[in-house]
Amino acid sequence: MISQEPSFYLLIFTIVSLVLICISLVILYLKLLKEFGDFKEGRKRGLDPQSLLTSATLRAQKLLENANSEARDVVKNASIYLKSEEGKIAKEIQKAADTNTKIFQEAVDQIKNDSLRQLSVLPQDIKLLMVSSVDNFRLGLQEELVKAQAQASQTVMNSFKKAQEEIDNYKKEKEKKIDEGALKLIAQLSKRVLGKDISLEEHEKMVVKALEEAKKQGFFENM
Amino acid sequence: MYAEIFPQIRTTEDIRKIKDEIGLLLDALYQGKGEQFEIVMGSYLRQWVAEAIKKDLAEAHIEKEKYLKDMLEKLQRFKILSLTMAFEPAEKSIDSIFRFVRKNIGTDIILEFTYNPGMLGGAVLIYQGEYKDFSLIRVFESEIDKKKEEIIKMLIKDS
Repeated sequence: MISQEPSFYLLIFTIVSLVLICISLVILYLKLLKEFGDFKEGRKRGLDPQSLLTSATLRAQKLLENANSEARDVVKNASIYLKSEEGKIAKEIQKAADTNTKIFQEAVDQIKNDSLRQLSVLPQDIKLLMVSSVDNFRLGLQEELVKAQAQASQTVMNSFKKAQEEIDNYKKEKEKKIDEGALKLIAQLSKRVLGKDISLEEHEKMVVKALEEAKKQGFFENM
Repeated sequence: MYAEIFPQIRTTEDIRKIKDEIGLLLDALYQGKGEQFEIVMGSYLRQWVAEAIKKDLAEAHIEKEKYLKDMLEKLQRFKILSLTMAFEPAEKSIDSIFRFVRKNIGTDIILEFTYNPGMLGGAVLIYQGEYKDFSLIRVFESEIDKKKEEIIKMLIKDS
């Protein structure tokens, strides 16, 4: 049995292959039939394949030529346009470039002129500034000098006044002391003289007088 | 009562003396039965005081102790007038001043004298806590003060 299996499989394979081939043949045949049908129909119309081919070829050729021609036209036009516009563009570009250049130049010129003017004027300004600063400084210095002078003389005057005042005060003090000393001496001498010169009667009278005065002044009332 | 004693009391010194005498009499009363009293009266008191007390006791018919104690109490009521003077007054001056005070100021005032020669004259009075300066020195110094400019000028002129 075992030895019969490979041959079995081989047989099946062969059968399947044959079936497939048959199917393919059938399909081809049907296709051929269809083409044949088409051919037949074309032939009925009286169309000649050769003429068809030729016309097709001519048509194709024509199409190609047209296409070519159009392409050439397009290219030509493009190149013409390009040529014609090229000048314009160049002109415009040049024009724009010229304008910008002009503007730039003008700006540069202006800046240059301004700078030059400023540079030329600057020293003058600085000079004026310096002169005015020096003048101001000189005036300021002068003022300060005058002030310092006035202050110094005021200080001297004040010191002198103060010294004078102190001297005057010292003099007054001394005079006062001398006067007081003299007065004290006079008072002491007067007291000594008076004390010795008053009698007992006079003393008594003075006491009574004091009592009378005290009574008059209400010294003894409401006690 | 006391009519012959009080008029003689002029100063604080007089009051001190009479108080001492009354004290002796009171002490004598408590010793013995009246004999000591008589002894003290005759030996230790001033004569005019003893006589004045005897007279009062005879006239008033009052107990001795009460009489003496009443006298002490009345002596306490005297007011003191302090006089500072530039001289030491003699008896005559004291009397003169006292009579002036009794006549013109009051009968219940006695005097207290202080001596200060620096016053030059006049008196400084102190009475019932009040002070008054009537001294000559005050007047003198016041006048010197008012006229010192004049005096200085005179001195300068003379020199």
